[in-house]
Amino acid sequence: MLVLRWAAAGTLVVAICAALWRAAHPPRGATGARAALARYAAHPSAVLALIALVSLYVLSALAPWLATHDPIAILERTLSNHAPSRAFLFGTDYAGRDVFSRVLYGARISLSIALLATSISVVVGTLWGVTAGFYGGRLDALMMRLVDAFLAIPRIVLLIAVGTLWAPLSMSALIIVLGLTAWFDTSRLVRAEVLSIKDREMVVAARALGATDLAIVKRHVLPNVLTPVIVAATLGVAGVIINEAALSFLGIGVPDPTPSLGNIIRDGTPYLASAWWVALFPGITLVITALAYNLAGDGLRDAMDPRQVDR
Amino acid sequence: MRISHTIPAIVLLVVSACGGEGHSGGAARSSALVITSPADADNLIPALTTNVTASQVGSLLFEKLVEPGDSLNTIGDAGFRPSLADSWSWSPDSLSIAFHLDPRAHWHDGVPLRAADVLYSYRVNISKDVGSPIGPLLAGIDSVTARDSLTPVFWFHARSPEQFFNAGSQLRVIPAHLLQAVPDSALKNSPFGRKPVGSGPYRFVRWVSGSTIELDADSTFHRGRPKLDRLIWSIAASPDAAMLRLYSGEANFIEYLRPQDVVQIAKHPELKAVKYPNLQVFYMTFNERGYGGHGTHAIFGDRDVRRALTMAVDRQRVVSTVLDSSARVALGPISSVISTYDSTLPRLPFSPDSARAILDRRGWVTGAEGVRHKGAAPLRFTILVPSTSTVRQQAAVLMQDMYKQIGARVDIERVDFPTMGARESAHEFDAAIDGMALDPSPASIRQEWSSAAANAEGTSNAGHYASRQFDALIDSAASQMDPTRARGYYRRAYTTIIEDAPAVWLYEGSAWAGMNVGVRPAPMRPDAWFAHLADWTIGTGVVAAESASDTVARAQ
Amino acid sequence: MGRLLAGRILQGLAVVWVVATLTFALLHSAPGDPFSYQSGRRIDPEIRAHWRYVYCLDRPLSAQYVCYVRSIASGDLGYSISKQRPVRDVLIDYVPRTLELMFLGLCASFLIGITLGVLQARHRGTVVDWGSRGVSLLFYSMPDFWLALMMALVFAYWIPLFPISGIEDVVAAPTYGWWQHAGDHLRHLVLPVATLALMTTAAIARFQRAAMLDAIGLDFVVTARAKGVSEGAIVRHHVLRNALLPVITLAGVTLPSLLGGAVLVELIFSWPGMGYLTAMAVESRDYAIVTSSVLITSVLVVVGTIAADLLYALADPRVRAQ
Repeated sequence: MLVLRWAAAGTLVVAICAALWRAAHPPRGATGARAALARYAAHPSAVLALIALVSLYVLSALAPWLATHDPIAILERTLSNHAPSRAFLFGTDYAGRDVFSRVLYGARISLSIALLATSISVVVGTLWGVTAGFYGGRLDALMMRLVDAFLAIPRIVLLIAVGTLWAPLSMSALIIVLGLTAWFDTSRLVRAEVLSIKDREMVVAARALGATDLAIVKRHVLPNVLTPVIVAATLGVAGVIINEAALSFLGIGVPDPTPSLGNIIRDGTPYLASAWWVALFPGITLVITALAYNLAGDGLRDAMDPRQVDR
Repeated sequence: MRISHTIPAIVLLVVSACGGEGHSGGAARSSALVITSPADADNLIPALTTNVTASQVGSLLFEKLVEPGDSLNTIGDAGFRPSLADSWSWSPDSLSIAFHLDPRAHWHDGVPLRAADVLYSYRVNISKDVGSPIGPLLAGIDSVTARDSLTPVFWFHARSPEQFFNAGSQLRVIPAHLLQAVPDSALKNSPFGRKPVGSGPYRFVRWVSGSTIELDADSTFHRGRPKLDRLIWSIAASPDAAMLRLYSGEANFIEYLRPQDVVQIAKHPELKAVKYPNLQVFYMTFNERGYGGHGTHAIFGDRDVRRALTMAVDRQRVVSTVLDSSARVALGPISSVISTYDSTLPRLPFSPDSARAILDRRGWVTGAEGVRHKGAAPLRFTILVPSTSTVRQQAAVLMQDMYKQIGARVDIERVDFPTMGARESAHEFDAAIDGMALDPSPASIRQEWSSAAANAEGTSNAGHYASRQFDALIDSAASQMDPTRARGYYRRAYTTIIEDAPAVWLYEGSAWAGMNVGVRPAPMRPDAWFAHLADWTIGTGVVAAESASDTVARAQ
Repeated sequence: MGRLLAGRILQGLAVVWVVATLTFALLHSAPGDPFSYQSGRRIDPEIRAHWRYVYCLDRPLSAQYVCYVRSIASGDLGYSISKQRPVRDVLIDYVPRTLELMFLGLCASFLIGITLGVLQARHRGTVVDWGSRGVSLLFYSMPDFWLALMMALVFAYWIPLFPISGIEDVVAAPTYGWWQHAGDHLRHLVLPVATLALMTTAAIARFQRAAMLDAIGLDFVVTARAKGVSEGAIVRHHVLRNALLPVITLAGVTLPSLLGGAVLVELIFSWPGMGYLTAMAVESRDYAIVTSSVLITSVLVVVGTIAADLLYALADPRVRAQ
């Protein structure tokens, strides 16, 4: 029964990947976004990364359908810290819970939190960068000084401070906090891009013709800014996932008993020597996710800006 | 580029060779108990701290005048053992007690310990500027004088059953000659707190913040050289990190094992789990006030409903499932170890039928989905448990099921310890599974469960239990000189609180310690397992506190 | 040069001031009242009186802010309720241990990172290049605490080479001579430093490789090659020196991530430094420690960045000429 579901999920993953592949290799020559996709598809590592991400997202989204056990139910004490077996693919943790199911659900939660938080950071960072770059002068200096100050604080330290002062954080508060601490690099990138196009002929002409700031931003600035933002965002998701895992590991992230990849590792830490599977598998999942995002980000960067191709 | 490869290699070689030499000599010959503890001490002056590690270290550095016997009797002077005082004498009217100090007692810097030190210690402990945790317990003492340099005398306003216990066995004596120049309010910042000089069986060696506290045996100790040479508290980041040290051999003792740890220890042949009595009681308290502390709780404000909810729980089954078959069900806020315990105390029986009958009578009728309701209010509440304790969580899960059988809908909320404390102080909970450490003195129950305690902060009485009858009975019990009559009053007080059911009393009385098989503990006193550390031995020929370098040597 | 330094220091002070404002805002907007209650525990009246004086709690918010900044500037960082000591005294004990870790971690990761970057540039396109880039990216993608746990698992349990906790062998330490002490200390440092270094090396190697590739295309390098200078000599004398400079500026970016990594690495290896202190303060809800940590780490980053800028200025003849 469960095997069938997994087969169905696997088929879905393959289908999505195939569709993307077709899109990247159209029969005739490709232009614009399709060309970028084709360039992306030329890197085997980037392709693998995309496959990994698609798999992770599809499988974890379908977690309730695919999990072998209830991730939260505390089973009997006698089942605690059992090695991986056919019944428990990744073994059990100290409370007797199935690690495989918890990792599946945990991935679902961690991955969704990362996406949402990154979206927030993209919005905030873009707005900040556009404002600073576009208006320049004193405002720009002030805004970027603030960004410098924020960048001087190690992110996890800031997250710990906020997480402790506002403990316990609700899920939405956690996402907001993660998002609001991840936008700094994006804002710098955006600002640099804005500065470089501010003096271009088109923009100057548009201004001379009396276009409003907002219109200029919408028509000229944003489309050009999109590329670096997407790349930065993709690379940024990896950081957010790791930070959320760190917070959950410390106990101020996703609250027990809801699984998150970070707090599953936390559960496995006291029994590292004897029940190493509890800490190993969620960690591997985290690494695969972060690695995939990093590779995908690199691939995107190369694909979208041919000048920067890595020799 | 080859250079960059060889340098790290050389460094690695040197580094692993260095550590291996260290363990020859001292460590193998002297016995060391390495206690792994998750909490660093804060200040080693006993009057200034309630920190668990600091109290343990302080109790081995500083002495009391007398120590309770293993029966933990606190009424009168029966069973007490000499510590700093060899003997004592009562005045005929019992309003003063003279302690005769052991003339051999001395401070670790060589200065003899005299009555002046006792007088100074008393003054410091009652000083408002110092705020000693035992200050209120010394309230019954009128004054302390010195008849001569070896005889401090305690004077009382009136006779009381525990006057001897309060005088001789509450305060630890600190050196006047080193501290009296320091103003009381500055005592907290005195370097003495981090580098103390005591009179006890162990002397202070070093304290590396966040890492280690070490004490060495004082061979000139007035009651004989301790059998254990060194005591080392190895501070770990968390209970889990502490367990890791035990498993890796870097430590050989941990004072508390969780049930899953007990199971885990069985897989390590060089370790053993030892059960010892302790004074902890665990219970599920009902918040009798409304949420937030105002008004009365819709469900728990009713005494009969609380009784019904107690009768719905098969406490024996809960306790043997979450702990083990030898665990004891608590009868009330008392432990089987204290002297006034009475196993014949009445208990509310496990009877779901009676529970249902009472609920029917009180107007809680069964409604949709089997959940009772009274008017518009459903019989639904939340049990608060700390997320770090699987025992309490499992207990809550079992109780949740039992409550379902009588028509109550229960949710379980897991929060971390600090949040739980905050919620209880603010009365923002329905029910919470709590624990408390009792005092050997039975009168201390007044500090926790009286009406006055209900309003104080940080007490066990977060549920706001207040009963005049209970208060009166406890007061009478605490002032009874005659032990038999005192026991009678205590029994009546306990009966009252059991009948009023302010909490479901769950389990009490023992804990598991983890240690290396070579460690041979002396009897562990329930209120202080470390009281007789000086008498512990570590078997030779068996792996004693293994230093990390030993681990390396073993692996090679 | 002096003007450069002065300018940088001023900028640094501005950054620290902004961070101090941030911590003030955090403390005052947090729920509950961190100045009288912490996790349901009432603070000693004596400490509250001290805080009232130091933080001007009875005055309006703006006056409180001034007081706060003034007390920080004078070194009073508050009182730690979990350690029952002034925060400053606690930091004096714990910060040096983190600095030790940072310094060694920085040295190790720069050494390995630069070497790796040079190697990759030299043998670009080959297995060496792709392989080592893959491996370093792998380490870059790992959560620091998980890497630390795996290091502990492999090197302390499965292959017991190094101790996984503490800063010393508690049993044997008192019997050690200084030489053995140093060796013991170093052994305890290996795992935490290695963990930190592995993570940051990847970032440095990536940067270094790109910098090297840019330098290799420079004119004078082409000339040298035409003149018949060996490839190795070219790399050593010309390319390396030019490519090294940008990497120094990386210090400014590496420091925050190293300090952040230190929090969890110190926790897992029970290395009692500032990161460990911060992680413990979460459990005990010690707000003074947690906010001081934000401040101190930013100060460390600022100092490190200024040092890196100085180094860059000293090394780059163009800057020195100013």
